[in-house]
Parts: sequence; C-alpha cells; structure tokens
Amino acid sequence: MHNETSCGDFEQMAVDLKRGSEKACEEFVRKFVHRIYWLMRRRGWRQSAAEEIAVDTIEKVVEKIDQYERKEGSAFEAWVFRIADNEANALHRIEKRLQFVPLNEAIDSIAVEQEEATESVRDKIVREHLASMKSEDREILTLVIIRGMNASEAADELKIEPPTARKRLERAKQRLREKLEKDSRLILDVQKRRVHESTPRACGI
Amino acid sequence: MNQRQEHAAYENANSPQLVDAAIEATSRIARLERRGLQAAARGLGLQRMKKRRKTLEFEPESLANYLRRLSEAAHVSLAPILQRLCGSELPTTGEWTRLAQSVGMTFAEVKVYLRVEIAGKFGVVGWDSANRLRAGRGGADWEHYAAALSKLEEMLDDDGKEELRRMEEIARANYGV
Repeated sequence: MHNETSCGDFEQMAVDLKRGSEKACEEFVRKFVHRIYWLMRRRGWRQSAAEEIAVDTIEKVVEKIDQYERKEGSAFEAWVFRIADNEANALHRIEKRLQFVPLNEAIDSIAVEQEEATESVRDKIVREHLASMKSEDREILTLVIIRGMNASEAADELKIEPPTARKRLERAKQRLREKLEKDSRLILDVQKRRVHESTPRACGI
Repeated sequence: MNQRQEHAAYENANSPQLVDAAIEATSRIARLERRGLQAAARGLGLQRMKKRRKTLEFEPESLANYLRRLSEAAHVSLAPILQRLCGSELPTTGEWTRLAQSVGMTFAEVKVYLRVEIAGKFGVVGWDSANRLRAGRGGADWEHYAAALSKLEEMLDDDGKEELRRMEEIARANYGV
C-alpha cells in the first residue's frame, strides 16, 4: 500500500505541509492514511472506527502542522502516530466499548496483518484489470469503484442518460468479474493466506 | 490430471465471493484515500484561516457588513434579524432605529419597514403578507419599493397614520434628517 520513504523525506513533507502545499497534502494522505488505518485495525478497532480515526488524524495533522518541531530523537512519523493515538483515545473515551491496547503491545495482529496484505494484493489485481479494460468500461468502473459514485452520478459525469449508465455499468462489471474469476493470482493469494495462518510471527507498525 | 488441466481447474476456481471481496478491497482502499484527501483539504483550510488571523493585516469584518452579507446570502430582510438583535420581543422604535442605523441601513429602508410594520399592526395587510413584505427586499431599489408601499399608507385609518407619523419622527430624529 505504501512505498518505502526515508525519515528525511518525511521531514521535507512536514516542511511542505507547513507551507500549505496541496501537493504535500496529497502525498501525506497517500503515505499515511492506510498505515494509520491498519495500525488501528491491529489494535483491535473495527473497520469503520479505524477509518474514522485515520481520517480525523489526517485532518488534525494538517491543521496543527505548525506545532510540529523536529527534535533530537523524534520524527514526523512518530508525531503523526501520536496524534493517531490521541484520536483513538478520544474515540475510546466516547465509546467505552473496546479495550484499548497500548501502542507497543500489538495483540494477535497476525490475522489483521494478513488481511492488510491480502487487501493490498487484491487491490493491485483489480486495478491491473481495470487498466486493461476498454475505455468505456474502465471509465464507468473507475467512477463507481474508485471514486465511489453511484450510477446516476456516473451518468452525470459521463454526460449520458442514467439508464444507459446503469446498463453500461452492469456490462462492465460483468466483464471485470469474468476477468477476476479467471485470474489465478486471486486463488493463490487465498492459499498463501492459509499458509500464513499456520505460521505465527511477530509484527510491528 | 496434467498441468494444463490443473491450470484450467484454477482458472475456474475463483468463487463469486472471492471476486466480490477483491472488488470490495479496491473500493474500500479508494474510499479511505478519498476521505483522507477531503480531511486534508479541511485541515489545510483551518490552517490557512489560523495563519490569516495571526497576520497584522487581518481585521474582523464589521457587524454591519456581516449582517448585510448574511441577509443577502439567505435572501432574508435585515428587519426581522435586527428585531431579534434588539434583545426584546417588542423593541421600541427608537431601539430598532438606532440598531438599523448602526449597521448601515438608510433612512429610506427604515421608512419602508416602518410602513410594513404599521400595515401589519393595523390589519391593512395580514401578518403573512407583512412578513413577506419585510423579507422581500435585500437593499436595492428602495425608492421604488417605498413608492409601492405608500399605497399601504393610504389604506391606513387615522390611528394608523398617526402611529406611523410618530414612529417616523423618532426614526428621523435618530437619523438627524
């Protein structure tokens, strides 16, 4: 989901965020939103709550970036995750339902880690097939699957009638499904997961 | 089973659930990224507002301008807003006029509102119509509107005319005209 990025790159990102650069904002979201989400999932937060924490953290970091100061032994990444922890604690106080697990005590996170890896592989496969589809199918599927529009909104965007959009979407989805059904990597991904499940290992952030 | 048959078996092995899960994964990842970008845009907006507030050049907007812009944006007349701001349910003409003056309403505007008030009070027009009239103007072309409302004045009985004259006197004194 995220590429390797050095501490120096993150520090530069913080500087750019302080300048209010929109490009830095986009880069920051792409690098961190999924990491925060999966960190929270490993802590035992359910999907919707982990998503809320990730999104709220992004907003808080960008809003309060002026308060970040680089100090010896501390880094932008750590600062971001501290804010994520604060957001999680705030949500925990509100909900009082899940038992909060401190940062360094990642519990049975192996299953979540596998889920992360599996989702990442599946996403890659779907995006590859999307990219290889003919433009008419690709356009409508991208609007619906990637940009989260419904058929009517996609119709508006593509300047076509809603019934036409619905038919086009159905046909495009069917063709995508056919491609995915034939992709042996999906089933291999499941098999790999089964192997993983029987091999306990430690995990970090 | 040879290798080819084995591969063919794999080819047909992906269940609809697995396919759905794959599409759902992409959908969820894209949704989270989209929400993240929206959150970052909100954060950036707040950050910029804070920076602007810190600069010496920043001056808060005057109450008058704020109220005027508010009434224009909401397509609501200033009169009912001012009445509420007076702090009493039935503000005196003097209180109302002073507040209207302080937010920059002209004497012509005030006269129009007074006529509408009196017309409503003395039953020349129903309260619904009076409210519609009060809310009907945003500030432009007051002379024309006032002329149309002068017909209401003609419909008032003597008590109504007397009350309107008294209220206009108070307003005139406040405006110094």
